[in-house]
Amino acid sequence: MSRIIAYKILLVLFIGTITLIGGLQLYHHRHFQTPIVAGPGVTEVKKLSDYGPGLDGTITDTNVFFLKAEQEGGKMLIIANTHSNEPAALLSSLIFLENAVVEKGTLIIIPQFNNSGGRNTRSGDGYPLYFEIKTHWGKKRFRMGNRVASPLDQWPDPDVYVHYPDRQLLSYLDIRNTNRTWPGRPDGALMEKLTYAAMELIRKENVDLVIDIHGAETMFPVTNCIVAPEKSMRIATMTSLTLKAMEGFDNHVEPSPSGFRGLSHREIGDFSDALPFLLEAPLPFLDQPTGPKTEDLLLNGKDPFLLKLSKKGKLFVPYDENGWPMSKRVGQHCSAVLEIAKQFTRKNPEKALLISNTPRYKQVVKNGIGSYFKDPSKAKKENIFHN
Amino acid sequence: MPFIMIIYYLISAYLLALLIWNFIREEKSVDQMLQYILIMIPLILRLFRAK
Repeated sequence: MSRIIAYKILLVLFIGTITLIGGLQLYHHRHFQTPIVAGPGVTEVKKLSDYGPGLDGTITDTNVFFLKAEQEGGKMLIIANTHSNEPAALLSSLIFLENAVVEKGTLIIIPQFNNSGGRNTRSGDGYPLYFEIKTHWGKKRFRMGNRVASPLDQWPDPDVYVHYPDRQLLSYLDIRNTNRTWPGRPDGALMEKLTYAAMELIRKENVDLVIDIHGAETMFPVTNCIVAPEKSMRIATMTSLTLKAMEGFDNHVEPSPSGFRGLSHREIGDFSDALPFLLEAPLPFLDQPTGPKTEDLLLNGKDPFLLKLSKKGKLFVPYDENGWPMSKRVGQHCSAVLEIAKQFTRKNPEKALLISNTPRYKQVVKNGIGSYFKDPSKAKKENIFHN
Repeated sequence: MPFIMIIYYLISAYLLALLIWNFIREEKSVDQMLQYILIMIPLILRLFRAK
């Protein structure tokens, strides 16, 4: 064997080994399961594929939890992990799912909406693959996902994404972004099928309120806010004012732009009778000028570069040495969801939605997020769900 | 499988064949060899549908 051939074989083996080591980590991440314990309020669990074609048997299909009271009332849908790199949404939805008791009306929760995105990562940005939340029974481990669905599940991307039905031209990447593919279509790309199924759920179940939970950069103006279209504006404004007065945190209202298509807070309102809201809480981890993208930055939101920028007035939210811990973000979301339900009930008493046994902002900050998660090892098997 | 996907797979196979051929022929530049191997990775994963 000539020296050059031996050298080439060694090179292939070396690169192959490195690829295998990296690939196995990504493989485990993609197949890692976080057990979800259905709480006392959960009455039924369906799959999103029950509402739209083309999802059954794909990684995109996801669990839909129903918390239905004996008394009829309003219906609210909570969507989390539209963007799986904004995990306060997932954690907030799980607090509702594992604890809430609905006394009147129906609460529907999709905790892992973009399941493909939740099994994707952004290796080029050095994202951690997992994060852990401390509980009284140990640590609960979650996958850290990506903003968009994995190209392993929807490929190839077009040169330009032409939104359906408005034909607005959007970035090619947004065809995998489930906050750009609303209202979707039954025969489109996989993410369009996913949002179409969610639209069908909203229409068939006659959902009154839809809350899509997110997180946003501190340097982005649309952060720490409730985004609402015209039809939801009154409830959003009352919610914002009440939260500021009663609970002491800012959550201003941003109008949903009518000329920017594909977003949940625009299309859900235009293509159904539901009132949509999108909640944003500050997420320093997503800002560009930060230090390494570590689990600590994700959970505590402390970063020296953002602190400097804050002192120069470059951020859109108050920021100090305490950062923006996850408990504050999750607490804000819990309070905002409960307050939207309360304001809707005040305006529509015949469609009341009464939710109890769910913490508000101050309780989540004081007790920690983990204190609201159930121990899967002590739960009944039939109450544990995986996607 | 849609027709466009079949075309994409054929293109991937064609590019992979070119890269393997160039890798075999390359006898001097280690940089070039390394480059060929690295570019082959996503094409191999795509062809074998490895997720």
